[in-house]
Amino acid sequence: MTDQDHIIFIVDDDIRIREGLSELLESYGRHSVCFGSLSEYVAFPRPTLPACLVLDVELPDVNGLDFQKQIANERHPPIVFITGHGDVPSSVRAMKLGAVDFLTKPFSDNALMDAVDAAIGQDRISRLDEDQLQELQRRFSALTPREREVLPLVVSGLLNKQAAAELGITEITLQIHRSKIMHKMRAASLPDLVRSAQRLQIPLVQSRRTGNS
Amino acid sequence: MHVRPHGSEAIVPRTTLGHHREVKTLCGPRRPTVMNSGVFAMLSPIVRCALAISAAVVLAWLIREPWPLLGAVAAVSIYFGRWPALLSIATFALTVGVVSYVSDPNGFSEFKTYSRSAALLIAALAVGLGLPNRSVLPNGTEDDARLIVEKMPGLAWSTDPSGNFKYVNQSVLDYVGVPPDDLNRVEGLDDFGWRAVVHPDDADRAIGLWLHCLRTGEPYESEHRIRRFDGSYRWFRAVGRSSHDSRDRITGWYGTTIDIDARKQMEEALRNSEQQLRLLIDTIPALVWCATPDGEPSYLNKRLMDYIGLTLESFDGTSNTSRRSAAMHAVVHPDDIQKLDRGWTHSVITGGSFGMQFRLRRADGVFRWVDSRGEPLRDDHGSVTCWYCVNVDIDDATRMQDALRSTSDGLARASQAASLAEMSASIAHEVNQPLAAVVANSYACKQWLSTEPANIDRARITMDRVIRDANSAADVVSRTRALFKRRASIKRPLQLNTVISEVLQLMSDEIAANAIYFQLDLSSDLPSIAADRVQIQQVFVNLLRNGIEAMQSADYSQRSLSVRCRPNGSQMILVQVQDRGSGLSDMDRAFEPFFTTKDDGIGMGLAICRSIIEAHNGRLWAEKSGHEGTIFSFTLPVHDDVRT
Repeated sequence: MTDQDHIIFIVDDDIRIREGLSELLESYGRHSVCFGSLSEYVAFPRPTLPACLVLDVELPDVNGLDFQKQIANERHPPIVFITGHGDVPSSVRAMKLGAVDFLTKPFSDNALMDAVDAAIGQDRISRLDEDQLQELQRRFSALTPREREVLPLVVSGLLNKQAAAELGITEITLQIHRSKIMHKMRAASLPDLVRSAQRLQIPLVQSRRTGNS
Repeated sequence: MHVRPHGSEAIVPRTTLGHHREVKTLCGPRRPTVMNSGVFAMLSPIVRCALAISAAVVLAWLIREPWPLLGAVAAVSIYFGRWPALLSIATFALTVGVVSYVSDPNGFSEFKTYSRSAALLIAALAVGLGLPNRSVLPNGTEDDARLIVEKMPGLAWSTDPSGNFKYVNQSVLDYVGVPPDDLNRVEGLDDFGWRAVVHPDDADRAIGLWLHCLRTGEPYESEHRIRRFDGSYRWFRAVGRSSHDSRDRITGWYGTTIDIDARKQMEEALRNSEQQLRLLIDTIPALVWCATPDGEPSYLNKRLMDYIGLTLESFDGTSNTSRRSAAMHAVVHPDDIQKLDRGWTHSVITGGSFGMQFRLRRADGVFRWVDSRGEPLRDDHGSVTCWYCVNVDIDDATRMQDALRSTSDGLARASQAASLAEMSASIAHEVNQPLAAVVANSYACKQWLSTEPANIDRARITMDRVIRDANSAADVVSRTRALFKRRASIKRPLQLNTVISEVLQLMSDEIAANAIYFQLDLSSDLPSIAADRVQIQQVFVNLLRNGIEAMQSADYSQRSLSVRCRPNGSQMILVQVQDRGSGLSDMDRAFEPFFTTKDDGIGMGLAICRSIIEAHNGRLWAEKSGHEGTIFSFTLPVHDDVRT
């Protein structure tokens, strides 16, 4: 599991399907974990890896489509549905809620692999984004209260003296804060800092003295 | 000339012998005699006698001898009867002796006279005794007639042309207890004394009619109550006929008045009971009608006339159709006319009980279902004299039943459809799961083999799984087949006739609702078979329903379904179900599973039937019946214990 950069969860009540799918994925070098029911899957501590869920629609405990609706607002890996008899309304519904694919059993290896790879890729990207954001948030949380006051002024494009005037501090003190912020946020340049601030959704401020400058 | 009649006890005013002429003729034709011929015959016997005696008196006076007179008297005596004759002659001889002794004292002459008288007496005796019939009959007939009139149980009377009584017999006087003169015409008025003895309610009618008859000479016939001497009234029937002279003038009236009280009372009782019956028939909550032996309606009770708003006579309007046909077209639903006509004709021809349900038009134009039943009334020879029928309105019940049936039909269809869809989905899922696994494993296997180097071990493992899952799919298929397989049948000795009657009980509604003419032709001495009751019932239900459905688009007159059971050799029983439906397009394919020509069928019925019959070692086949329709025949072996 050490070199593993992804994980595929398979939920199907039929062990033969689970075996067949995990064998097929394994033959293509994909790692998978199988569950007989959704409750087992939910109970499983998911590793923080790009992942995808291959989910049977007809399950004994919860219908797969209903489960998809339940987790719609949570952070969850993309879903590839598999079903014994796919009908158009349920597939449309599933796709609208963000399913990657809706496969009718039996399906070809290519169909499954394409869907699974697409799902993992999608998850990887969203996971990456998330990781970056978390890193930025972590850095942002390291700032002192004064520094958090200074940051919006700096990224809003105010001159040092304007920002110092806003806060009622000297320009020198502001410059010290600014360099500390750049360091703590690991920003190589001012535009870099601005991008980070954007991702953190820090609101911009207007200088009250803009008109005098 | 007034003479007292012979019956001296009778009080008969102004009676003459003459008025008995008609009575006499009643007693038989008069004997032809010399006196009856010529002018002499026109005179009455009394006049004739008087003439004869007068002539003898003249002759006796002329020859101064008594014997012509004696002879004449003897002849008259002989004419009227023996005893009066003897009496007359004896009297006369005595008279002659006394006369001759007084007139002629000569002894020899006296002797001569006596000896002549004796000789005449002997001669008269001889004649009287020797010819009794000839001399007695006419007088006896008159006596008999007189006696008949006097003693007859009825009241006999005669009147003159104005209605005054000339004669009434004793019974009249005994009954009314009123002197005959009090019964006569009231002087100067069109009224009679006998009004007093006639019931006041009947008097005007009876007297009016009598006056009318007196004027016109028409025969008088009247029924009225007459008061008895004790004041009670009894019903009498008076009949009078007029007599006429040669110029066709009414000379008098002769009549009888007969006690009909017992008959009247019986009539009254009958009328009462009839009225009560009619009241009953009109009051009971049923529509009653009668028909003639050839099926023409002859009576409708009031309730039925009110119901249809028509009377029996209103069916006679059209001359070119029968009353029956007019009635059917007037009040029976057009779709039911043929069925009813056929059923009714069948009953009328065979004389069997009639029973049918059809729609009858109510006065407000609404057709309502009625249950009609009829039974024939037969005379002593067994031929039908009348049909008595009753219709009962069963519309509400029928509608409820229809609603129930359509609900249950719908339910059955829905559940059938649902279970089929469910079952097929479940079977598909059961097969598809292992197949999907097989496909996945196969791809995996292929993938293991196509890596460099090929992972043979993993490929083998996946192949094992492929085999395992493919087998599991096959298992599902064979389990499914087992699911459809019949359960083990329980064969018991069974009477086919019983099974058929049970099935008919189940399906009678369906047969009636489709207006199907059903014929059952069972051989009463069928041996029993060894069979599973439920399965054989299922075969019958399937075949009958098949026949009913085949005739759904057929005309009502064509809808007939028959079941026949016959021994077929000593080992088998042959059953035939024949319909007159659209027929089968493909006799052989009909028995294939899932072959159907019906929109709503699944095509399993006949296939199941055939497999059931074959499981019972019988055979089921279909053939065309004549121009239209199909005969489904099957054979079943006779039960082993019965077979010899």
